[in-house]
This record gives sequence, structure tokens and C-alpha cells, in this order.
Amino acid sequence: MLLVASGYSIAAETICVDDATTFGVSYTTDWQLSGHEKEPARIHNHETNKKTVDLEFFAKTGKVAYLLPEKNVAEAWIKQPKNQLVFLRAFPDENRGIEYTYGDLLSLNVNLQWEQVKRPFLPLQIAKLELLDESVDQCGKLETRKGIVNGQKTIVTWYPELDIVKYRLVNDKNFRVETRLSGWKNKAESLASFDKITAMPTMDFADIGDNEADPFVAKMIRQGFVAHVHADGNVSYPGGHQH
Amino acid sequence: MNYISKLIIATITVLIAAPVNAYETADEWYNHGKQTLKQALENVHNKKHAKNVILFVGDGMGVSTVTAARILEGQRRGEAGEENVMSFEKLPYIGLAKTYNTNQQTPDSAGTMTAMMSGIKTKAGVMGVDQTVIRADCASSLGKSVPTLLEQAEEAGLSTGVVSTARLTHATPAATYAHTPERNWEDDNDTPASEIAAGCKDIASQLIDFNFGNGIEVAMGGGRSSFMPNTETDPETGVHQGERLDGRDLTMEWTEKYPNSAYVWNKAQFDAIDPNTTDHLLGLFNRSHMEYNHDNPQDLGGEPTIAEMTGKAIDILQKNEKGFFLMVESGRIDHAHHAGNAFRALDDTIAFAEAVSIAMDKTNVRDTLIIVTADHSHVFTIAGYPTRGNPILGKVVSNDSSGDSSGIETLADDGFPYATLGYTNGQGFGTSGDMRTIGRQDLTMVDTTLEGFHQEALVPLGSETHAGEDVAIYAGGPSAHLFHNTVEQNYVYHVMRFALKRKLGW
Ligand SMILES: [Zn+2]
Repeated sequence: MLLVASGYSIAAETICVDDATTFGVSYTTDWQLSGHEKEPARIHNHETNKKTVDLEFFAKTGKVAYLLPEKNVAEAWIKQPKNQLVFLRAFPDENRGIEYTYGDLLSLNVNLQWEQVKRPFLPLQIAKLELLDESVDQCGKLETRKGIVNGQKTIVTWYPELDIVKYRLVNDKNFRVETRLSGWKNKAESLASFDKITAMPTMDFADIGDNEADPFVAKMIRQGFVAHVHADGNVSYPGGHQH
Repeated sequence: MNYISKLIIATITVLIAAPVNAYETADEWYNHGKQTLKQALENVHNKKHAKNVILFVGDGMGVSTVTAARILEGQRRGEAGEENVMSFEKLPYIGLAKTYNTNQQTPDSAGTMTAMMSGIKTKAGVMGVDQTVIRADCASSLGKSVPTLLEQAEEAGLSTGVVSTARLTHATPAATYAHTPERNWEDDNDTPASEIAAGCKDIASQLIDFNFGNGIEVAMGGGRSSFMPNTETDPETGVHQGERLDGRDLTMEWTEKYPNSAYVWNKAQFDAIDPNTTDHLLGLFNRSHMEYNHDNPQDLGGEPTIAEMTGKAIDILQKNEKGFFLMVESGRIDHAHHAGNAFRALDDTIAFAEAVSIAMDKTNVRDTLIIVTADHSHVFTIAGYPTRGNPILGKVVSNDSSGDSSGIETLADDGFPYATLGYTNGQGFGTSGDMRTIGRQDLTMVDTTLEGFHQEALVPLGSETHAGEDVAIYAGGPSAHLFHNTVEQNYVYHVMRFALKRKLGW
């Protein structure tokens, strides 16, 4: 499904999206362990089995960015000709980033398509779920769908014309993840965020190995960021990170 | 005329022509050994002056990489592989180089290439300056530059060339023409303003401002963005900008600076270059490093192979009757190893061997010194007891008690099969997520020969590391016999200099 660049209309009084090619959304996700499973120590706080995570998502023609403010990580996917992707992982607090060229991604066995990374929450899979309901709100047409995504029971309400999720509940025997769209960003705000993320000085992933003496690189390697490009194109926050 | 004498080729083909090992006999092994001895006895040191010197550097191409690539090259032809001889292994002389930097037991490319190009060991991370400098401190590097063989060759009227599959501003190619206390100062966007103010120039501008002799004749590789202003959009991707802050378009400056010059950035333009009418060629085929050889067909604008670049470079350089110096680096063997991806490291090594083969075809062993070496090794191993001809990228299949292939994958003590190739550290089995919490995987259902496989690693690191053991120096032609023992790496420079002593003085 392609992003609808034109023909998408919204009610005149709304401020949801002023340009369907360039916009942003904020999400809040409540994540709760319900079973005996320990959350992965790598990502989360041991002391609690409940967590709220914020995600900001920005879209622009041929570019998307995922920002996790509290984790100081922004991830961007840039589409080159022939659908070749470039991946950028930036660290706003450090004002540094690592760029994974198309060849770097291949060498890491990451061979993703734009359609897989262009929106959060795996829209290609959402589109295949059972349709339960259709409605309209001030931001556009909505669908509610239900089914199994990556082995997990999922209910989603989304704007199919934007491929944007409004509400999602993943209910597994071990955890419950509830995501809500909490706000929209207009074109100007989205462009400013893109500029901030993509203007940071970057190092090629291929050059990491020859720069272990660089404190930034050493820190990123220690934190495991360097190695971990997600095969689903989603950032490593609960519910969004599904292999 | 071919670089290697017919005698040598005839000797070697006794074994390499044999398919798998089915037809090997005791007589053949015996005769092969005898022939090799005969060849050694008949070998005559070439004490003539060299007209040309070509230095090939496989970045990170340690001995285990050569062995594994040799086997893979043979297996790709349907042979057992172990008996294969790669192009540069046919060179008649070999030595070992101690690679450490003055401040580091396991070295980096900047210090090691400075050793080979300038004749002195120095620190890791610096190029063309001596070991008294403080890394990334411009003031400490002023007045500490050491001349490079490429500069000296230019001054003596030779033609010179630099070819790399990495960025032309990357450590190994840069050490042929640049002097800097920090390998990462590839353009003025990478160089702190304070260090520029202190008098240090970024590496890309040093290539274009190079003022020895009549200037470098051939410079080909990647790294285009360091030569383009940040106001220009990359011609290949269309979605990236140049890196330069000073507004200079160094590609345009190249063509303005040199007569009969050209700048090319894609394969079609490269193919259209006529060596007879082009005297100064700048090729920048990727905004960063060029593609791995395996991924070459997917490059957006098209890229020449390392063999094609080498061939065209020699065609341009050998127009000079006085001779030439050429450095060719396979820069991405190193990167693939750092990524823990043996497939691409070995594939790039095979492509590198093809480049050496082209150079052997285009030059004469009587007047051209060819050296093939590495700057450093990697923690890459060939392990277990795989049976003869076992796929080198595959899992270990050992022999049974009678000495024949058991036909089944050998299991480790954890009950899992394991691959022949592995790393001491690095990403390990990188496709499964965070290796720090995962450990060894069951490879039973995994095809380890595929291009995306990451060989297993013992110590988890985000990036696999260099290794500190010696690297081989293969050599043929005038003065090649001076490589015959274990030497400090900076000795490579002194042999090249000696071979060219009639031109460069001694
Ligand atoms: Zn390296």
C-alpha cells in the first residue's frame, strides 16, 4: 500500500495532518508484564514490570524517523533509488550518529524494503488482519482490525489512508502493550525534527571497527547499539520491537 | 608478456588442474615437490633497477584470510580448493612483516601504511607523520611530516597512482599522499575548526592540493562526499549532500588543475575513459566506500571492479617512459571482517587477487617490482578438522575412523554443529539479536555459506577486531629477493626505494 500523497482530505477544522507526505505523530505506550517472564535486562528497568514509553514518528517523502526521547535514540530510514535503504541511528544528546549504507545493511544480513520500515507497528501485517469496524474521526477514515501479528493477539484501530495506528493493544499471556496516538505534528514541526536528526555528524558503520578508540563509538558498542539493527525496521521499544 | 615465467605456471598447474582430489597420486605429490624445488634452484634474483613499483595492500588480509580465500576461489571452480594457488601466491619471494604500531601491539591501518609508505613506524591513527605527534593534535604534528614514496616518485618524474575500494581519504590510500595527526579528518566537516586554524588541512584537500612533481596521475576509489560542497546533492543517490563546508568542489578543481584530465563517478564514465588521451584521472565511485565486490552489481551508478581500476590505472601510468609507482588497496576485506561476515571478506580477497593478476598481465617481471601484502591481520580462524574439500564457508564435516569423510556434520560438546570459519570476537551470530544474551546458536538448520551469515565469535564485540600476528609479503620482480625473512613493516618502503634507486637516488 502506497502512502496517499494526494486525494487525502481531512476536515477543515482539524490540525491532524496539513500535508499527507510530511507529518508526525506521537505515541504513548503502556507496557506491562502479566506473566512470570522477566523483561529483557538489556532494555528495561529491572525494578518495575510496568513502563510507559514515548515514541515520536515523522514521515517525509522517502524518509521516516523514529525518535525515542527518553532513550536518546533516533532512527531514520532513507530511501535511495532502486528502493535501496540507508539507515541512520542518531543519538541527539551526543549529537552523533551512525549511518548504515545499503551495503553495510547487506553485510549485516538486513535486507528490508521501504514498505517494511515506512511506518511503525508493521502496517503490512495490520492490513491483513480481520476487519471488525469502520468509522471516521476528525483526522480521517478509521478501521479496527483484529488478529495475530508475529504470534501475538493484536487489536488495532488505524487510519488506513495514512498507514498510521491510532490505538493498538497487544495482549499476550506474558505481557500487555497498549499504544495510543497522543498527538500530531504538522509539516513545519516534522521538517524541523528531520533536520535535527539528519544534520548530526555521522560515522559509517563500516568505519566503526577502525574507531574503537573514539569514546562515542566505544560507548555505543558497549550499549549494543552498533550491532542491533532491527529486522522489522522498528525501534527497540516495547511492543514495537518484534522479531 | 606474462609477469610470471612459463616454467612456474607449468609447475603449478600439475596440481591446480586436478579436479577435487580424486586423481591425486603419490607420484604427483612427489613430482610436485620436486618441481617446486627445481624452480627454486633455477630462480635467479633480479638485481636490476626497477622501472615500476606496484604495492598491493589487502587491508586486513591476514594469512588465514589468504588461505580461506584460496580455498574458496578453488571451490568456486569446482575443485577441492586447498591446492589452489591465487595469483599473488605465484610470486617467487615471501617474507613476514611485524605490524605493530609504535604505541599499539595490534595495529591500525594508518600507522601501518605510514610504515610502508614512509619507511618509519609511527602511532596508530596518524598518517605521514612521525611517532612524536599527539593524535588529533594539529600543533604537535607541524614539522613532523615524513615524505612518502609516492611523493618521492613524483619528484623523480615517475607517474603515480592510488587505487582503493575504500574512500580515497581512508587511512591506507591517504598515507600515500597525506600528512595528518588524525585519520578521521577526511574533509573539513570532520576536522575541528581549531585544528584547521592551527594549520592542518583535511585529507581530501591534500589530495587535490598535492604539489609534488606534476601531480598524481590516477586516483580512484570511493569517498566522493568529502570532495563535494555541502550545497551540492550527490549525483548517485540524489538524497545526500556533499560534506565540505568550505564550498570547494574538489572534483572540479582536479579537472581545472591538470591538463588532459577527467573526473568520473560511475562505471559508464569510467569505461569511456581512453587511457591514451587521459593523463590525470580522478574516479570517485561512491559517496563513501565503494561496494563490497559481491554487492557491485547492485550499486546505483555502477562501479568498476578493483581489477578494472587496476588495469586502467596501469594503462595510464605506463605511458611514462620513466616508470611509475602505483598503490592498490582492497580496503573492504577489513570492513567485512569487522562486520563478522567472512563471505564478503573472502569474496573481496578473490577480487583483489584478480587485480594482482591483471597487473601481472600488463607488466614485465624484469622491470616491475610487485609487492602484495596486508597492513594487519584479523582475529579470523580456520578451525576443526573438516574433510578435504569441505566447503570453506560451511560447517565442519570431519572424517571417520578410516580417514574418509563421515558425511555428517561434526557436533561440538554442546550438541550443535559449528562452522569452519570463525572469529575470536565480534558480532557472532548477528542475525539473532543481542548476542550478549544469546550465546552459541544451533546451526543445524542454518546455511553458513550464504552471503548474510555472520561467523560465530567467542567474545561479543560490536565490531570484530584486528589481530596482531605478522602478515605475509609476497613479491616478484627487481629487488623482490630482499623479502626473505621476518622484518619490521617499514622495511617494505626501503625495498621499494632501493628498487627505484636509480630514479629516486639512494
Ligand atoms: Zn580495520
